[in-house]
Amino acid sequence: MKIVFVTVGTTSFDALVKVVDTKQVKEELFNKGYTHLLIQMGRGSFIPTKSAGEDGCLAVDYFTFSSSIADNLKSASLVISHAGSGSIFETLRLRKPLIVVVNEDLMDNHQSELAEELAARKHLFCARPQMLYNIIASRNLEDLLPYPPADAKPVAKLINRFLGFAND
Amino acid sequence: MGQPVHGLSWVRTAIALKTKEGVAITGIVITGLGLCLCNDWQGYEFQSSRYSVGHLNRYLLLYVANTWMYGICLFTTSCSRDLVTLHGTMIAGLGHPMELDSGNYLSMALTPIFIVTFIVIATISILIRIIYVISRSSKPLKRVAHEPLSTLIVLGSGGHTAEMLNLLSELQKDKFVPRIYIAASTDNMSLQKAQALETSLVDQILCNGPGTCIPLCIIAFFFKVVGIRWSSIFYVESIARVRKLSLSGLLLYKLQMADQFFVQWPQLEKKYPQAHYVGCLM
Repeated sequence: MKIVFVTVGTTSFDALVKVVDTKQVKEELFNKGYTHLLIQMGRGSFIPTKSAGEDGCLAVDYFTFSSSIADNLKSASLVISHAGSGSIFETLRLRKPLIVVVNEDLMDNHQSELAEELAARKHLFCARPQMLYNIIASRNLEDLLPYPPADAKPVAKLINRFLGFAND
Repeated sequence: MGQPVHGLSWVRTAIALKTKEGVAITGIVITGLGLCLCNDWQGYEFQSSRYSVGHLNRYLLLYVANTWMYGICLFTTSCSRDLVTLHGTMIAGLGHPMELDSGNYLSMALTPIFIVTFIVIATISILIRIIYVISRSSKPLKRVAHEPLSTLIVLGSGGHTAEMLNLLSELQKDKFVPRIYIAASTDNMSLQKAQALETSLVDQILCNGPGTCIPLCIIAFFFKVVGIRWSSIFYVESIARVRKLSLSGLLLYKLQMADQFFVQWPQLEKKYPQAHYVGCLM
């Protein structure tokens, strides 16, 4: 069982849900060996079509919210996420292949900055909704580099030095 | 030239300088320095004996400021005819300052020249104080006793909080006590926050982005200027900001309110040279 998990966080991101629900994307995912598609659709109004996944096609299921998506992320083989930093880092920590889809409808779209920077560093792929199919079809998810663990030591060191505490 | 109007020896020394403008300027400069110095003792020593020194300094500060203001006003009104005629229209009907009882502070305090001088001196003193606080803020604390520091931690929404917790896990717990947490909420809680800050009077504030930290930082800065409490402000820009600072970050950076400003991407350090690049906290 290989699960593709799609998450839009607390927002509504119909453009992403719509594009993963297209026949083209679902077929491509199935061809790549994925068997299940689970969509966390948030406040969106677009309802994807459920499918049990018989006779050679992807099983599709969805839910709106859950208190924690940690289990969904853990069981997933591929994560397609909105550009929220929370879901991005949660996925990267779990070392799951990640495609971030940037919501172009957001007013202050500083979120894309982070996704683009991490994409430039090859930790994830970054796409606009209409480009998602191309990314899935053309990119090799094995090319992604693991994200290095967080390191708060430099800040702690500077703060200690500023306050006159010894660093040990 | 009028007679010395005040028993304090510094008035006599000032008169000995003969030039009234010179005296006025010297007075203003010394007022500013006095304010700065007064608070510096506080900045250096309040850590070791928390409240007694702080209170003493506050009284000293008020005393110094008041003495200088009264002194300078009395001096300028009594010995400078030119300055008085300059404001002649303003004091018309109030009687010439020369006729006033030079020892009577109350009647002096009612003359416009007093009010004008008071406002000028107060404004200049406050400006000097603000400039001093800004320049002093970015420099490391010089502390004799390495006692623990009370810390206010401003938590924001999900992502911000995770970054802050990563940072906290790296700080030595025994040196940052007590720790007071403030969780950002969507509604406006500025007043409660001010109360929290006032009742706790922390030595330092750690914040990383939620807009709600701005009022706290402004209050802390105000406390620094007034001399109530010297608290260091550390600001860590969120990892989500790669090319541009967030609004709260930009505000703190431009107003130079944060003692130390940290960013998590090298691009930002290039763009904002006073920020320190510290790598990723997530």
